[in-house]
Amino acid sequence: MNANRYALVALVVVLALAPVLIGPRASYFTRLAVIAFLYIASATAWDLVGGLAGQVSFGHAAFFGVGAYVTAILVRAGVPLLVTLVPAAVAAALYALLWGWPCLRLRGPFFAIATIGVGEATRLAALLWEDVTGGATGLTLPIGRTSPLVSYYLALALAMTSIVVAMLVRRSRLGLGLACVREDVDAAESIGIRSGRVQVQALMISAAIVGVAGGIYALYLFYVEPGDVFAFNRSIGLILMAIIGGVNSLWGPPLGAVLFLGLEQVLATWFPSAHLGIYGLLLIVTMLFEPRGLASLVSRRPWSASAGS
Amino acid sequence: MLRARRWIPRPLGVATAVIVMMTAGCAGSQSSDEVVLGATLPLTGKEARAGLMFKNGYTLAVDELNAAGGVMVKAAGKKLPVRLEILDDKSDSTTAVQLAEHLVTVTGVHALLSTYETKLVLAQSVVPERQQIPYVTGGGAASEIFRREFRWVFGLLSSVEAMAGTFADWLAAEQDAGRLAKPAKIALAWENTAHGQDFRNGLQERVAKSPDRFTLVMNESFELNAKDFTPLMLKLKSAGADLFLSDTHYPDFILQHKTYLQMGLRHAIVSYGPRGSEPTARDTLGAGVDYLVSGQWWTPELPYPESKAFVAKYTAKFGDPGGYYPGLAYETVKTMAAAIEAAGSLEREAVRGALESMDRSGAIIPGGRVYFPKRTGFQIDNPSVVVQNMPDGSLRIIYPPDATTGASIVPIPSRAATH
Amino acid sequence: MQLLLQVLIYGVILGGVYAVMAYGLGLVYGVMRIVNLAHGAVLMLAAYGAWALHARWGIDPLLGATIVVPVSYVLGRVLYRHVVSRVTHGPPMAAMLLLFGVGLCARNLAYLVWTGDDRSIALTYGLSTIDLGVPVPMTRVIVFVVALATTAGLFLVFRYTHFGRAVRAVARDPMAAELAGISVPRMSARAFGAGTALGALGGVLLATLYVVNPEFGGPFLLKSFCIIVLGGMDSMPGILAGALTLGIAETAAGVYGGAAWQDLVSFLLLVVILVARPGGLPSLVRS
Repeated sequence: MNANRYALVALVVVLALAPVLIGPRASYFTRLAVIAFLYIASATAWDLVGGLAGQVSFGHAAFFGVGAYVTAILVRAGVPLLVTLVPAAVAAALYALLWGWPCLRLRGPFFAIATIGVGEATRLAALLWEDVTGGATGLTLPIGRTSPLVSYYLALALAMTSIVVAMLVRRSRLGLGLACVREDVDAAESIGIRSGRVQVQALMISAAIVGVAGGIYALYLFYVEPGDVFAFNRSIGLILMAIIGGVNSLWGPPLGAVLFLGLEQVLATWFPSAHLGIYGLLLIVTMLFEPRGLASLVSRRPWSASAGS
Repeated sequence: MLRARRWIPRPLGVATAVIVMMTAGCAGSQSSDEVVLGATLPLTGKEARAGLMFKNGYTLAVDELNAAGGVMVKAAGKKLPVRLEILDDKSDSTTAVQLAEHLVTVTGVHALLSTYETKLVLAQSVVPERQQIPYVTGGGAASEIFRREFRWVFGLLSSVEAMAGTFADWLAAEQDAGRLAKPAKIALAWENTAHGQDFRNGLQERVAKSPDRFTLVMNESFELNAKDFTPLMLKLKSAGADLFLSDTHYPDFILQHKTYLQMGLRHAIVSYGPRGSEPTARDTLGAGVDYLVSGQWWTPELPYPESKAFVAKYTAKFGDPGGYYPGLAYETVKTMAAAIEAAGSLEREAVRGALESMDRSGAIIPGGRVYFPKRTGFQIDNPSVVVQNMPDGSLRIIYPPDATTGASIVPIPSRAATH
Repeated sequence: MQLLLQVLIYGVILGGVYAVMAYGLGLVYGVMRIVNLAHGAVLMLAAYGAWALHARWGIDPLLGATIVVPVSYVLGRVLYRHVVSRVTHGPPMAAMLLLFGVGLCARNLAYLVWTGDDRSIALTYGLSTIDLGVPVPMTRVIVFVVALATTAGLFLVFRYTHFGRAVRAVARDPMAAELAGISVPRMSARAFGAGTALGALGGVLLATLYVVNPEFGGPFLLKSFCIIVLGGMDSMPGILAGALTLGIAETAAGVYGGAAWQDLVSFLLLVVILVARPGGLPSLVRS
């Protein structure tokens, strides 16, 4: 275990110093890494709901977008950068509470369909609420106040936080409760677990993290518009990341996030018109042969005590 | 779960290392014996069709320059050949930004040509501003791009508000010629995108400025790819307007106009913004597209000799230019080359200065002049072309006056019943 | 004519369009409890099929359906036998995600074969209208008639044919059906094939109304969910009722609220019904 601790610390140190080490090419690496860290953070957070709680959400982009817009609006109003991320998290968590409470009572495919509805409805609402969100044009952020390097460190911090939070949740009573609910709602209720409450808690935590990721994205891109931050493809990406890496595991989603990003880059170079098909094939192959995720093919040990959703 | 932990930092570390290597490993050198122009374009994804046409336009222009020996760079004492580096941004904003960064820091381009579609340009334009490298866009028209007080971003497309303004100017001309009622009642529909919003803003502004000429009796937005425009057309029917203006994408234009025709609606002027002149529209809607008016940033019908020469070359190599994309792409490259020549060197600030002070004639865009007013944030404000479909399938340019190829037909003549 | 009446007439006709769009999804879910996220892809590929037949050989889509629909049935059966059946015994999400993957592949295929360009079928009667008090597009009336015929046909098939009763038995209790001598895998494959065929029929009809491109399926998929949820998930007449409800609701929202509200209606209805009354309209009737 100690060797692992050192490896982890070393990794974090390397990442923290990377922009300096790489030198003049750093800006391209930084931009790529910001996306990687945000993917890691979001996929890990998604897995709390999709993997641990067993409720596959097709609408997580809604939280991402809410966080992005809240941050954008506050930055445009002159609020200090770091401060803007807190309301982003809170807004996303409250939004999770709003539609999570009624929808989490639905099981499996019904919940998934409901999340598709919520995700799309949020996107449409952002499009229509022109006065606040700028409508289809979106909102631009003033570029003087931050730099990609700031986003890099914020994103790195978020990724680490997300993994730590996931670890704590899985070890806690909340995590145990979620696992029980995932396996059998009625049995869980019969031993006293409030299935509605634990699921909503998980959704709120997940939403808060994804909301902050959205906020950092706004600071990174300097531009927020509904078709990007609320995109259905964004929600799908999170699902793919968790599946590729291994649902319902601590390190599966981060691995999946990195692999997904790497896949995106490789596809862009070698098979630019095939990325939809490759993702589709990945999903098909994974579901057919290893529903717990490709990463569990790598390690020949079980990734978690119980199988995936 | 505890057992699995042994494995994970390693794969993660490996993966991170891979990414670091991917980015650091690309060798890029800034050559001093050629001009390197970089661009990302949506060659796959939603905007692939336009992206390909932009690529063709860029390529044609660069080939033309190289056929003449290249671009004259006084500091080098000779003409330097031009190399074009195009990457696929998959119609995605984040990719467009990353790849632009890659082109500047890794490939080492001297200047950037933009991608297509306002959303991507809005996001991507941050890179040239931060990296301080010249950037000319023929693919993004939202005035939002130019309202940020950037110094390095120059726009060859006038804003959509300006296009709405051109429409208003043309309507006013029709009123003065006695062909259109004054004041005229306008029914407006617009797609809920940046383009649609800007069109609505521009038109509302003109209506407010000239209440003796225009009143707005309908102002409705609609979502892209709607499956039913019956409600919209029912509203249009009861609005009692003289003319109908809608700002749409192609699939919505087809469905809207189909519904319009089926409901037997009639107005003196009907326009779907930039749509209406596509040959496939006539295949689908037949004589229903006669006399439709559309506004374009550039059209192959422009009578300028330089434009005609370009159209001939493009058609020979790539086929029919299916929109304004090839023309604007071509003009973008010509503009950048002209700026380098005027600056006398490849030094970024010098090229930027040349762009700012440019006033170039002989361009193929409407008005024939390339200039970037400081007042608009360096977005050109030339008029658009207004085109009308003729029953024989040809297109007639009816505005601006220096580019007209025939008289406009207003009001639309009554047709025999279609069923 | 009074505006409200016009809204009702157009809404009902639109409902017919939505019904044919949703049947395939409803059948697959009703029988196999699988949410077919590839349904949009089925609509899209069938639409392209109809377009291709028309563009190349001038075959009217209604005739083209006689080719496209049987081919889809076969493809659906094959897909089920070799791919989908392997995940039906696991967690339900696995089948859903697998089919979603199939949908992605289908979209990519469409981009490769036909590019992202918009295609439309130019029919001689494409602009004709029928006077029902208000001019109604003939193409939509045709679709409405097909929708009614399909509902009636499905109702009869399920009630009175061996195939229909076997399918219902498998849906109700697979083990009992097996015990009664019905081959569950074979029946399931046929049911999936039938669902695909219905979806293909919908796609062909939709191609006569709308412009086709690889993203064709997306908006229809979401609306289809709304309709089958409204319809109670496994009742064919329920789906028709759900489709009519959506058609009228959307038209009314568009006229009285604004075109901007039209899309929002289906999502709001979907979420509200799922949460408040998962049994859909039939449960309202039953209670």
